[in-house]
Amino acid sequence: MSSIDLLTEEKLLCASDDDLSAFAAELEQTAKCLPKRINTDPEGVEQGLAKLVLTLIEFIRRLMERQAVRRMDAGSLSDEEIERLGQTFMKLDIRMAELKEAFGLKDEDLNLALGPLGDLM
Amino acid sequence: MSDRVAREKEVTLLDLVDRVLNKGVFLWGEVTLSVADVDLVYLGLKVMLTSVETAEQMRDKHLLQADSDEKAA
Amino acid sequence: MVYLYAVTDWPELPLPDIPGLDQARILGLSFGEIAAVVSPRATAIVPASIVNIRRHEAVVEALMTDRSVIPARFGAVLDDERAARRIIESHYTGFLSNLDRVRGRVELGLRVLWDGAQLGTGQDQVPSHGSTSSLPASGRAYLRTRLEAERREQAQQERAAAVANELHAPLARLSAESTQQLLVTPRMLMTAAYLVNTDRVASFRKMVADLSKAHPALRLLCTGPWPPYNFTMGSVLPTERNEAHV
Repeated sequence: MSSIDLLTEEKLLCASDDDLSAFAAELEQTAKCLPKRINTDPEGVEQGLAKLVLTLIEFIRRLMERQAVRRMDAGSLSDEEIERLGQTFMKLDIRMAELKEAFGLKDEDLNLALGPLGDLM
Repeated sequence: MSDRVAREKEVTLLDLVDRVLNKGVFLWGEVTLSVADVDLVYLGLKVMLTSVETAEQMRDKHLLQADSDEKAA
Repeated sequence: MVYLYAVTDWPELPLPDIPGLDQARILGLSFGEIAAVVSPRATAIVPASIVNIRRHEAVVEALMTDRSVIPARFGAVLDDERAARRIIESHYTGFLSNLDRVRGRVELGLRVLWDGAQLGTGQDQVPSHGSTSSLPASGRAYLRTRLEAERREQAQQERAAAVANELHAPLARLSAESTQQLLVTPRMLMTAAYLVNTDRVASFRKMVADLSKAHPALRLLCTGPWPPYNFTMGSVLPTERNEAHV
């Protein structure tokens, strides 16, 4: 394959924007959100583990909430079930918010959009 | 180095880092170390784990500075 | 231990004369029509420094100048040369067909930013989870707000897909293969990778410029050419492990 000139230092082919800082900002954002990676450096272990655990809980919580909402929408839940489920999810929501705050994590830090699992969301 | 060129380098570097850390053929359990006959199979996985945190630190520590340091070296 | 850069074809070709990570010498481990390109390494820990990442990329790109290459993800350290040979042996046909898929082609990346709020109800307008100040009194009311939020997100997702497709479809037509991800962050409408024949790169680039003009509300960023990181076999399991380890 004679394409020596294609693989050079110049990697920016085309940008519609003179100001690339928006892209830089978004790329840094995506780099931050890697819940499957845990920092094995002792100082960062707690934070890394918290991120992982909270991401998993958030993922499951949102999935379950979505299920409940859909069943409510489809009319397959009784009034009592709707009320009970709603209360439970609301409490869970508050609890998760507290946990996230305790670890200084925001929703953007727990990337819930990456990978094939993201499609389940 | 003009602002624009510097920003271009930063963005393409971030793009490269994202690509190289998250894509490419990925081997599971590639390093086996044993301690007292206990197989630490996922050392390979741990390598992946630590490498990302280092990347984050690098990014936070003025990417462009690291870049121009490397060029000078 | 050895650090893995890529799996290539043409195992008998001399390797490029450049150093690997930490100035280690790169070597090729052949099996049949393929080779694993590695360099010796003392430690399994590979810091993801800019220097190391650039060096990894430099080796992969140098290999790409005269052969077909399946780039390894950064950080792959194997027990020894034998382990490397075992892997290419046990996944031989897979590597062969992957090398075929990418031969004569490069990867081009595209990222698109949009102003979601402008193009429809943005994420910012959806009440965030856990904002206790605005929580409704009853369970039913709570679920109702969640339903509304979900509908808005769904509409957003559909809008994103429609806009993204206007860009993706013409570019995919110029490519052998492509991948696409929507809304990895709320502002990043789309992240895509395209496997393009080297002789089509110029027309691809022109198409991106044209699409950019046709969509003034979007910001496009096209990078490359890259080795085909997005078009490999994905993850490869060693064949001799016990089930328990997986």
